[in-house]
Amino acid sequence: MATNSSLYKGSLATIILKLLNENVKMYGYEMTQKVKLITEGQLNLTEGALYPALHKLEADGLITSSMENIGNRMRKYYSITRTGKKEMKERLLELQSFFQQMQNLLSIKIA
Amino acid sequence: MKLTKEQIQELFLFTQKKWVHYYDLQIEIVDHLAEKIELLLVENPSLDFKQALQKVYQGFGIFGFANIVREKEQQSVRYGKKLFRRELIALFKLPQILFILFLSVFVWQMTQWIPLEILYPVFLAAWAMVSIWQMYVNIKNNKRQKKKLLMMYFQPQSFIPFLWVEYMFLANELPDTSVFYFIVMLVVIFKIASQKVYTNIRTQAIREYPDAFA
Repeated sequence: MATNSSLYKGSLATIILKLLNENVKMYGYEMTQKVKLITEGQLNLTEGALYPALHKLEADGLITSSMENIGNRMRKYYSITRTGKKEMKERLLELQSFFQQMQNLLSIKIA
Repeated sequence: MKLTKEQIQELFLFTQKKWVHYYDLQIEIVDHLAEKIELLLVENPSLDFKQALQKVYQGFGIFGFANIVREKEQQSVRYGKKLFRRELIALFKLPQILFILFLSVFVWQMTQWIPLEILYPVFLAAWAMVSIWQMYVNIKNNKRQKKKLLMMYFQPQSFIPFLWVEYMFLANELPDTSVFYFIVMLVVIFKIASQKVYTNIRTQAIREYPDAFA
């Protein structure tokens, strides 16, 4: 069963930051494939959501980009900045706290 | 299976037809399309290039590339505003603040020594000359630029306060000395900051996308 996309939309920026934190540099398509691999195909990172999120993170200075010639074309690589790493840690803590709250909320048993 | 240079060119034309007119964004989308098409052609050898392209394009949803372009335009403006704020703040730090202080004293002294009846038209003329010169430089730069870049979408000139223009066209009387001093300083500071943003973005664009410039 594929994951409902609305469930992860709010966490997309955190997912990108985490991916870039674990890899020196990545390009857009590579990220979609990595997410697919990690989630065993359950989560489909669409292009329409990925690129606007990447561009926003870049404008915010959380990630930076560089161009590379890969033979028949140019490729844009993204990497995380120092500010991005700090932001990622904060967002991960927020997410953990959110998961905990959701768990508490959903495990309530009405007497 | 690697796509040929001709097929890559075809992808650039395809993005143009789909309303992506900015070269920096085209590069990113073309790479994404190419990578996906290359894999699709390996997985499904019965498909030809055009069929694979259509299949991959469908993955971008019913709006195609429109959302990506719109979002990127907004982000370019946000980025430009951020750079503008940074340049403004930098003007009030050492060593630039020394220049601002010197300018401030110089303008104030001018308002004290020279009657506003003379000073006002002199400043207007100087302002007009600087604007015309800047327009000339921009036109010259635009001619050198072969391809449109989204990273240059932000126009810092729009940040220049219109107080000056308002005074020029609407005021029947000469402004008060202190008001005049304030406007001159504000306009000059905004002009310096916006010019620095334009220069920085253009330098970055030339470094990252040399193909876009003649």
